[in-house]
Amino acid sequence: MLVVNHHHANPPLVERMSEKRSQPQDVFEEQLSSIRTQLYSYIYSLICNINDADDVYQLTTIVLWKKFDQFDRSRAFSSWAFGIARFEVSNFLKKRSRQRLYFSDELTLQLLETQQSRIENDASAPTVTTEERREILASCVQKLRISDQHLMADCYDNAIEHLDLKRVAEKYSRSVTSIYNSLRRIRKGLFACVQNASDPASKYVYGQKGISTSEDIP
Amino acid sequence: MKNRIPTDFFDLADRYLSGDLAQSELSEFETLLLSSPELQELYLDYAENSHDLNLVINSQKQNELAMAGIRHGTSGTLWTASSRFLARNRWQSGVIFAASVLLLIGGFLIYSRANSSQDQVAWLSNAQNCDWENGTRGFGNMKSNTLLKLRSGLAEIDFASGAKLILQGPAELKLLTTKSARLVSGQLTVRIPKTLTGFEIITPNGRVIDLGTEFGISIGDDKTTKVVVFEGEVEAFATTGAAAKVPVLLAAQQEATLETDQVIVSLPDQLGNNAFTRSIVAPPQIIASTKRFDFSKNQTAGIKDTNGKFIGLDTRLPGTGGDLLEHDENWVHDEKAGLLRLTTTRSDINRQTGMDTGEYLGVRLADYGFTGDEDFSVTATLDSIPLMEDVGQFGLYAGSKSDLNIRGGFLNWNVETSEFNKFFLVNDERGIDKDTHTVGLLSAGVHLRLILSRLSGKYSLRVENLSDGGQITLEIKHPEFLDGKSEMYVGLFGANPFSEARKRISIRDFSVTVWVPKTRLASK
Repeated sequence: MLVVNHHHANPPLVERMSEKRSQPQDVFEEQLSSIRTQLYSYIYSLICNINDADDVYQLTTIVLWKKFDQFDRSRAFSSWAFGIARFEVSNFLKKRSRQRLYFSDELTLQLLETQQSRIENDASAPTVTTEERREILASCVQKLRISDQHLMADCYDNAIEHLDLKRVAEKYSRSVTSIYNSLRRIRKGLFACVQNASDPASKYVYGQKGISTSEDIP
Repeated sequence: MKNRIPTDFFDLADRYLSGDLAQSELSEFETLLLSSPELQELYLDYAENSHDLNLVINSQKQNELAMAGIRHGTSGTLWTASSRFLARNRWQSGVIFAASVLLLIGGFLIYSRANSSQDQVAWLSNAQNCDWENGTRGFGNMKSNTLLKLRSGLAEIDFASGAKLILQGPAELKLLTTKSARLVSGQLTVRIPKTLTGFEIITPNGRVIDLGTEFGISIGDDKTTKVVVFEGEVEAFATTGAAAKVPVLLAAQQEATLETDQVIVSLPDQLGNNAFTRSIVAPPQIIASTKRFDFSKNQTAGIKDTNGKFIGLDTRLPGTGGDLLEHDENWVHDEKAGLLRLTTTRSDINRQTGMDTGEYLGVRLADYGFTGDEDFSVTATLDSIPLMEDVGQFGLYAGSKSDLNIRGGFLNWNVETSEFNKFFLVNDERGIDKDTHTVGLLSAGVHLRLILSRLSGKYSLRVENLSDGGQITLEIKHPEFLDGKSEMYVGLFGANPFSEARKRISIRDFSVTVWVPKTRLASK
């Protein structure tokens, strides 16, 4: 039987070739995804406010994308991205520094270098992921005393906007300072709990109930 | 030796994050951090933990609200509760906002685990050659009770708990919770992070609970259910009887069969050869290696034409052209006209007569990255084709030598010359033409493009009539005798086998493409 196809049996060559070409957006997305959490953490660690950190993070990603075609691919993406993030943070802090105190440029830069070297170390010897760490934190919260769990829930009710400790203090008939001290104690304890679970080989000692400091380490 | 953390460190960190430090305290904290990269790391961890705490506390609170709503039948309030949570949770909504902005400026969406909804159990994180049954596409976020029906291919599913599962089609899987799923049929592998335990796969014959590990489960066509542990340990339970309550502990490299009332551990010499896929490896990126000969330009290599000018094409099909002159009188490179012209010679590849003067000229595929398995194509554009006579023929060939090849183009099939040419494609094995197919009526004077391809291992000849826009593709029995040949040649041929009616064909351009793995080109 004569076999005649009036349509090409295979996709046109141009289509085949374009399928195999990765788009710049894909490359950018992949690169950004690999450092997203660390980049956000870095911004938050300097700005100390979730709303503002969100804004600066958004601004940073937009700048990164706009400048992505100028990015020298022979460099590490993280170095470039953190450099731009630092610039955006610096711009933000200049505008806000009248309202509160922030770290100096020198420390900001050092923290940037520290965060970058953490990323590199994490790439060679991965530790726990963000999701794993949050799961650990959730289980640590569950281990708190019930009264502390209630206090945390009340304090973080409007947490994203601001901690309305005055309202909480009124509810518990305690002073704001007293509530604040409790919060700090609980936060330290939760941090110790997470660190103990996620990095047992840590070079620091964390106690069962909280952080051991130089005062109580033999 | 464990390091000491300065007494005030966490107080200072906590108050800095809260914006409560006085200038003198800030100076003190800065001095502390500048003195030690380790403390800088500790601060970064603490800040990250502080941020995570917002998410965790709020998500737990919303979960309690949702459960209370379900318990009291007031689930109508759930929507309000969770939308309020989303509105307040600026990190989550911020990511959505950022993604929207990027969508506008770049046309894409950042994939974020942070914006997952609370009832999301898992999401598809990777897929290879997946063929899903209708309505069970596993794209995006997947909720509890989602049934995935994968006909073929590999799908990697990330659970919100951190477990990663690779489903191998054909298979059916029902997602239950962030820490459990039901395998209905087929096979899968699961990898669980060290910090997570209790991830459970339920099968018709029993269930397996991980203890921080990587393992595989397969359900055969006869419903035999096998469990193989690659790393760590698992607990295997049957469905009924004592084995449903008391687990059998399986360690790394152990295999067991789940039966409804018992778990049978295989002896080392009974281990089956289960083809479990433990990771999805991306296929190599293939790119086109193309060489195009433009005959409107001077050529600097190859065979020389009758006037001693290079024509670009440099290799004859082995077994042909042995008696042709160094300045081949059958070829003329006319740069002004932008054409390469071939005058056919008396030769017949069918039964291998006159092959020493046979014109079969082109290139060696290995020079363009071909090693034996790659796809390739060869293309020629022809100006105003002549009417051939007495089985006179012109076209493209691909083969390893004169008596092992496939060729196609146009010919005049009738011994008593017709006023039309026909398209043809034919295999030649051991010097004998076979599987010949001819079709069509083709007038002289039209412009043609011929494309002889091997794509996905299959040969075809595509002919495009550039004068009227028509096109046709010819396929014949696959020439298995060419499979696996690493020395292959492609090119142009022209012959007048049964008469002295030599015809001249004008070729405007000629190109060859080999699809090769990018890594091989990069390593060159």
